[in-house]
Amino acid sequence: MIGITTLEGSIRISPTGNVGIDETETLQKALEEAFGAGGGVEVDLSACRSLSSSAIGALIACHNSLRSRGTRLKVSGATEDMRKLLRMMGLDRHFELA
Amino acid sequence: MSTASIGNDSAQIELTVFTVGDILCAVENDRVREISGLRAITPVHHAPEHVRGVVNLRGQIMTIIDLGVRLGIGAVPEDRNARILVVRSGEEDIGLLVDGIEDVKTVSASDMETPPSNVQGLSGAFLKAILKEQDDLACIVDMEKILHID
Amino acid sequence: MENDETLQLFLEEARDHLRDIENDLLSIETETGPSDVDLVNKVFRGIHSIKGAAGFFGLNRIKEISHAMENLLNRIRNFEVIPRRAVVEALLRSADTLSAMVEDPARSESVEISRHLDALTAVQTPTGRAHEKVAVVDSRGIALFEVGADELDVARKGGKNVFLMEFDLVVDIDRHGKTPLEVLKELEKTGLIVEAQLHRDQEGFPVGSVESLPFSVLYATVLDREMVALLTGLDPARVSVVDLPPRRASLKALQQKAHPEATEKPAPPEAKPMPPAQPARIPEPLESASEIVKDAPSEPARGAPQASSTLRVQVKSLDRLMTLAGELVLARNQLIQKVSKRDITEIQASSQGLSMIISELQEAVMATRMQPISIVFGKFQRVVRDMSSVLAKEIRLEVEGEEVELDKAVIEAIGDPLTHLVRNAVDHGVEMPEVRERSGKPRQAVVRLHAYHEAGKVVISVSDNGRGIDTEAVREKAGVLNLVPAQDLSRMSDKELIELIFLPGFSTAKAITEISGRGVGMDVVKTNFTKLGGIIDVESKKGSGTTIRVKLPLTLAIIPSLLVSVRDETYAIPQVNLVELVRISASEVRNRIERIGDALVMRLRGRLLPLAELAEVMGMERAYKDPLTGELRDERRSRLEDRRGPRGKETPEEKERRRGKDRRFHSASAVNIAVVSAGSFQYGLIVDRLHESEEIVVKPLGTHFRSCQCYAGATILGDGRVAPILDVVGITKQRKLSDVGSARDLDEESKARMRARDSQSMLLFHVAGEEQFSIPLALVSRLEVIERSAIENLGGRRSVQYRGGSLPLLDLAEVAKIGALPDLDSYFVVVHAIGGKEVGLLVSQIVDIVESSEDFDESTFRQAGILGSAIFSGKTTLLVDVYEIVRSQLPSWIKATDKDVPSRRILVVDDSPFYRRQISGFLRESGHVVEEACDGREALEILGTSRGIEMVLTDIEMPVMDGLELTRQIRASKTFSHLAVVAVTSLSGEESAKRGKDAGVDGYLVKLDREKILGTVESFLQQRKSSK
Repeated sequence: MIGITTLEGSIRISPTGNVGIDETETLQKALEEAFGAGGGVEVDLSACRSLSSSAIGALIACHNSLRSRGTRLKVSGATEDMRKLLRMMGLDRHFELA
Repeated sequence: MSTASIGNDSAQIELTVFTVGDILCAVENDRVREISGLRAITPVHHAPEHVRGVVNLRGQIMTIIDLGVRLGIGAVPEDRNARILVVRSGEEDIGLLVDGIEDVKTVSASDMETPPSNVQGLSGAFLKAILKEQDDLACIVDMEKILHID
Repeated sequence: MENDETLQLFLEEARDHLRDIENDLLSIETETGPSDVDLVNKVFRGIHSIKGAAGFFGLNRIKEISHAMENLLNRIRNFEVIPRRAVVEALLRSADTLSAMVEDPARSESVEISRHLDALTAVQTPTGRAHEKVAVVDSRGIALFEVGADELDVARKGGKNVFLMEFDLVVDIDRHGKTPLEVLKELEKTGLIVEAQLHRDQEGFPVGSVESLPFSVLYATVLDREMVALLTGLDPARVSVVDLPPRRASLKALQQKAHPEATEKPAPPEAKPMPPAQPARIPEPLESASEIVKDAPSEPARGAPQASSTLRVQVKSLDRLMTLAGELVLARNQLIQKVSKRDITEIQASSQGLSMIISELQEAVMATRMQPISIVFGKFQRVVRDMSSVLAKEIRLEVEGEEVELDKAVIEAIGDPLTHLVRNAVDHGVEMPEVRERSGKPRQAVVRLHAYHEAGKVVISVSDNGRGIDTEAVREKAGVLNLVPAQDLSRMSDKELIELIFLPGFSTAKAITEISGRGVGMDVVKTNFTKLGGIIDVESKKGSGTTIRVKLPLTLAIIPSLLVSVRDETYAIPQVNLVELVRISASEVRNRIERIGDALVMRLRGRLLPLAELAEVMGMERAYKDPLTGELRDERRSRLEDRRGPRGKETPEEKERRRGKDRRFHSASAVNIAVVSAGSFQYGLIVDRLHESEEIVVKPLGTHFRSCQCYAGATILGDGRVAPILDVVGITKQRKLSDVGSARDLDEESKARMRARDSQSMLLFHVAGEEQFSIPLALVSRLEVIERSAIENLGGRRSVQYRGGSLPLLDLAEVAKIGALPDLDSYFVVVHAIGGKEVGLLVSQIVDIVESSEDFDESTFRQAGILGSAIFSGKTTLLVDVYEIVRSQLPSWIKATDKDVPSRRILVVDDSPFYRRQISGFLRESGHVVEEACDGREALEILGTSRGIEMVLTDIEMPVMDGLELTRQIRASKTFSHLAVVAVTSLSGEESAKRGKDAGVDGYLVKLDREKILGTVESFLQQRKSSK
């Protein structure tokens, strides 16, 4: 289940539960669309229990696209563990971690 | 008309012709790797009599066989005309010291005849065939026998 | 502003450069690894051109700020500065201002840039976290991250391993139904994640499904590789050990200054590198990144087998290359000239010269690739130390032969398999200290790495004195795994069973195998070596240890050698065979060198050293000037009978010489002698000139020289000439053949027998008349001449005053039925040492010294004082029994030497009944019980049936089963491995001495040296007793 919220100048994507391989496709589509909207993109992980690697890959792809626009992917609501993971992957300095 | 012809008529063979003593010899071109000018031969003692020594061929130590000695007609003098015929033998190159290089000829297999037992002192055991051309006689040498180590 | 158009152009360009700069700088930014050098270059170039153009237009401020940025960027691309956040921040801000200035050049001159300049300078001075770095590279050689060397150290504390794990998050994790978080948490339970890096070279949208997400983790743990692989589900090939390059003193200083900093909480994004769960030690900021990266170009910490793209080259090699390159140019110029002159002969000559230079160049280039094996060996101390501390074992690593050189590619290729072997030895080969103690072994085990040259190959052996391979366990395991059909398995010998460890599938994935000995991954090791054309060989004895030997065939082996020349020919003598060089001046010659018949000997520190003239060995020149007397000699060695004048009568000089009276060696000039050793046997080679020592490249001689025993290959000298390399052992074999009559006279069988047999040097002499006698040279201490008048006669005993004491003189004629000693003005005395004293054997004439492997005929001439006979130099020669003579004439001496020897049971093995009888004789006379066997197989049978055999004395060369095989069998057997085995032989090359030692031989003895044999028997038996 993915929640999509439109904000002022950006879109917030809120995946819920476990984002396994199957769910990743959905997430990816959502991210692509959000990117296509032209503004910023934010991923809210507060309802997310786990992220698969491909899900992370999708986040990265989104971030790389946003870069060419001059912005970064915003990630919010990450749990302690999630932050740790992102930090280990070096993603904390690239995503805009809130 | 050729007697005791060896090959079938249509085959064409390329030969490198050279002299050993006064005798014209030849070898199939595909065995010849290169022809080198004479260079300093380091003698190596206790080797078989026909082995003159070794030379430095581009960093490889190559055995030199005195073809004159090998064929039984006397040592090849190391003079201006002498050359080293480099042939492949298994994994190594061997240099044959000859009196001079004459020519490269293409001949028909049909022109080749079985060699007699003796050609002007040269033992027929080392020959594969002979080639007659007008007054010239060329001995086609059997490389296997020449390079054979007892 | 002049020239508006040009200015506009400049501004246009500058804007171009600056447009991407922000993104580029952000991309460059990294906390740890080296950044994208191409990108840095791009930015650098952009700024550089802005600077240049700005100067032209007199836009000084723009120039200044660009210059400062350029400097910093330059340092970044030289790895002198790491583009961390602060650095990039400074650059970004400067870039912002620069952009603004470019937009409004008119006002740019008044822009305040000093704070930027300050900032740019400030970040260059390493005040922050410039650790000492170590670059970790992956299997493709790409540097992944730089880690603080200290972090690595901390990580390794407690003997942990540091691994580089190359994950693919999607493949390895997702597809296994796990999440990255779960995996990482698991890892954290069993170790420490030192560093991790995700490879984000991803495309942006639109993107298909994410197939791969490479993720590298630097992980420290006590687990070994296999377990880590199991834990993570990774292919073990993706888990590689990270080694540190050797430390330097400065590092120590650094560490001492370090202090821990508590960093429990995740750090705010700007500062630290990856989270250590433990306090990170941050050393004093001194070295910058270049310290490690530049200083050790060929030694970055490796994540996996990696070909370094640099190597250290001797300056001397480079000089040679430079010189050759220069010569090459000259030769080419010459050739061009000659070609234009169209003189064929000249052209040929020039091209020949060119050809020579090119081959030298080729060789010189190849030689630069030779590296000492210490590069590989170097890291093993650490490996062994770390492993032994984890495993709580006590191990000492001995390394020998570090200077042996190998081609760079080979060195790189053997690193891993050797590591495997060493780890195996430590892990599986060596027992726990307590276990060792219980088996009577010292607590500390020894693992030995030995590299050496042998017959044109390089041998690397890894050996341990641990538990050896349990062949029964191997058999069982092979059966269980069904690798070999059962009936074959039951028939396999130990040697064959050991070979099974090389079968793929033999090794298990378990960290600890049940087999005592090696087992993990040996098939891979073998393949690695086979790829290099090498062969691998395992010798193992349960309980004693294992030796794995790898022989690498090389076309390039470099050995140090001495160049010598004789006439106009140059030869090389390998340093390893060289004992010493002796130069005897013309005047000294008469004192030092003696002629005995046709043989020359030299006195060297109390012993007689046989000499050989290299010219003679080579058979040079049929007729040459005898260096001794200046005469022309016809043949190298004339037989005794032939040494008469042309009319069949001896000339007075010849007679004199034959009598050996004039034993002086005459030489017009100084004599140069290279003393060489052929295993235990030494002799001197007389050469004309000694040249320098040189490192030479060993090249093989062609197949036509197969049967030439004198050569161990050949080399190409600096001037392009070929110099054969002498085989010091082969030369003795060569001479042996030519000594005993002419080689042509012998039939093939005899020749073959002689080539195979051991040989001894025999001294030939006359006692009375022309009858020839012989005695092994090994039993001769000295040869002397005495005047008859000096002989004292006391109570029937003759003696002479000698060296401050009285030397008893013995006469063979008093013991054996031979002609009486004639009355001469002077006699020769053959001095023999026995029981710490000396006796002299009176002889009328010394004739010759010959090499002989002849067997003795014992029956025909046997009598008291004579052991047997043989043919030497064409004459029947009687072998003197010195012992018997001494015993009959000085009986009290013998009694004194054979006191209180406890009787032992000894097995004597020799195919010659003569020698067997002799040795058994000595032993029996001393009260030992002797069993005899004529070859190895019989010996084993006897060992099997007889009880109480304590020692084996064996010949080496025997039919059916030789002494080495016998020794190996003895060592391999459970019941007999403890026996002392002594080889009784004389001529043995380095190779066979090593083979002997490796086979398990305890010592070597000269045949017929009674004293030595008895003494050795005693001492070995004593030793064995004490070690039990």
